[in-house]
Amino acid sequence: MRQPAILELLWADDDSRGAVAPLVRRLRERGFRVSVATSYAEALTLLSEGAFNALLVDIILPRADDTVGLGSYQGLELARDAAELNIENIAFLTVVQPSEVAAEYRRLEADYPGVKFSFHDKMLLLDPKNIDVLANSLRR
Amino acid sequence: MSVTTLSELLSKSPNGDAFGRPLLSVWPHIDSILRAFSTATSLPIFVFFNDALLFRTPPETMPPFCQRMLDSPETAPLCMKDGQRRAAGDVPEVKEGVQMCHAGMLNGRREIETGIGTLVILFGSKKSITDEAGRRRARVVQRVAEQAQDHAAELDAADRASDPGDFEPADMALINSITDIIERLISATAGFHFQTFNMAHELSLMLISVGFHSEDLNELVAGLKGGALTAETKAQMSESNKLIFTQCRLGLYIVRNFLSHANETKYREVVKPHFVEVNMEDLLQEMVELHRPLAAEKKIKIEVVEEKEKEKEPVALPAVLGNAMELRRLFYNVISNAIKYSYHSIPNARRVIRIRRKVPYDPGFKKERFAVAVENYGLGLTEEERRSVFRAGFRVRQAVEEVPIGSGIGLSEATKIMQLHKGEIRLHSKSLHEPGVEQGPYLTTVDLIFPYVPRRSRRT
Repeated sequence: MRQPAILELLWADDDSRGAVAPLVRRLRERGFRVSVATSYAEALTLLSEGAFNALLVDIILPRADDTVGLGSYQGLELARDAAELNIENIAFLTVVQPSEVAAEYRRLEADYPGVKFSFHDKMLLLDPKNIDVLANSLRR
Repeated sequence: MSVTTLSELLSKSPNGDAFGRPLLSVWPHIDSILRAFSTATSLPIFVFFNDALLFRTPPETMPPFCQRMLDSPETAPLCMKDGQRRAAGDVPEVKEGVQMCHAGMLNGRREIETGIGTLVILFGSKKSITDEAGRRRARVVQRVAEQAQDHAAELDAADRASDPGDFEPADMALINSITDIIERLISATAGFHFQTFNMAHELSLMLISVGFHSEDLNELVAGLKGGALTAETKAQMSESNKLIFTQCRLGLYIVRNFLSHANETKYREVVKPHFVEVNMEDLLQEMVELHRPLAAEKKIKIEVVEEKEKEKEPVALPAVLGNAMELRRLFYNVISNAIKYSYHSIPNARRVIRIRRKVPYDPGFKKERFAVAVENYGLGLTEEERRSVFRAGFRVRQAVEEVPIGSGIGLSEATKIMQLHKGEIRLHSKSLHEPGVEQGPYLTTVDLIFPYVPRRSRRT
């Protein structure tokens, strides 16, 4: 049986790995095998290579050319790609209310009924019990 | 090709749902500007959003030749297809900012990036009389003649009836000004939305990262063996880390406040679908604990007053149907204000914030209500200021003088959250100093009043 694995995506800034590292450590402590990508392109390559059964993705995500476009919710687009690649579990990190992206979220749920989608407010991650909530939602 | 509405176009985009709102809000103004411009200059206008036709002025704004082309189902698609190619930038310019259409008419072309798509405005049409333009129109008429002689004859007549012209410097200046106005309008609305959103994203990442690292550092310090650090140093480091962690969490609420104030144009629609039963007692305790270190820095104690119901059970807050994150933000705004505006420089000032549970709040009122009352001693406000205090951006005179840093959005956001939960917010400020004394302490109380269903009723 495969270990639950998470792909965490943040924007392509050298510092972004620094920002995500503590969260990755906390997820590893909770039994996940974690890989990190810092752009849409890198994430897609890793997802295509297989071995992942869960995706944790920041709704704001750098484009393939490593720039963050204004108004770009590329995380949602990556989620669609991941669902196409049979990733079973997709969790979004966001600073916006889920309903801000409700239409696309509804489309994702309708198009991929076999995929478990969940939203997590980044603001709450500093509370350890919310990391548990996140970890639980990433398990089937 | 028919005109598609902006909301239809945005509903097809993954980002349109969230980022389209500011653009939608400003679009009616752009529409009016373009119509007014077209009427004043007798220039037709076509607007494409990405590949779709979003706007076109009525046929009577166009030269007779274009009117006849667009009136006919045979020739209109030729114009539309050509318009799309020019909007996509696939057609070279004949001079700076001016293209020639397939039928030899000139159009000014301007492009505006909105963040979720490109608006291309084609200002036209002026009948060019260059040889190339003549050849293009003749080709179109000839092509039509192969299918419909009558229509070709009408086009020929319409061509002769169309006045020749070109884009003069004054026309170009006008087009540039209109484009500039539209660009600024979009930048001030949609652009501001994107920028604040991305800034909030960056700031929140930074705060989360610092918060996590301070937590890790605390663990490291706690694990250090004796001798590496003195007990006193360890305690100091632990205290500092705790404060950093607290400040990060509080900072995230500032980011959320700003995001909410700047971006959420449909707040109720966005938040309401996520209502669940929220344990207000736990939430209050969580937010009080979060604020204690900050209060302690100003030597302020936060007391949650225990009150007993009929001398028996301690009163507990009922649960409410709501959004936990927004209710946290509500408490953040009220408690952090109480800390910020408590006196700290006056000797013997009362350095205490009292939080009372008032269950029920006003027995006999048409519906059952409870309240959380937050009291602090410090800066106050006049009766006149009290009427404006819930307005975004308003800060009372004493606050501006004594606490220069503040955005004035805390109470307006708190009001928004209370209204969402069908509640009410009240603020009282009672002077505790002698008349004639210029400045002195006030007792300020903020009541957060929520409707609720008492437990006995819920059981039935």
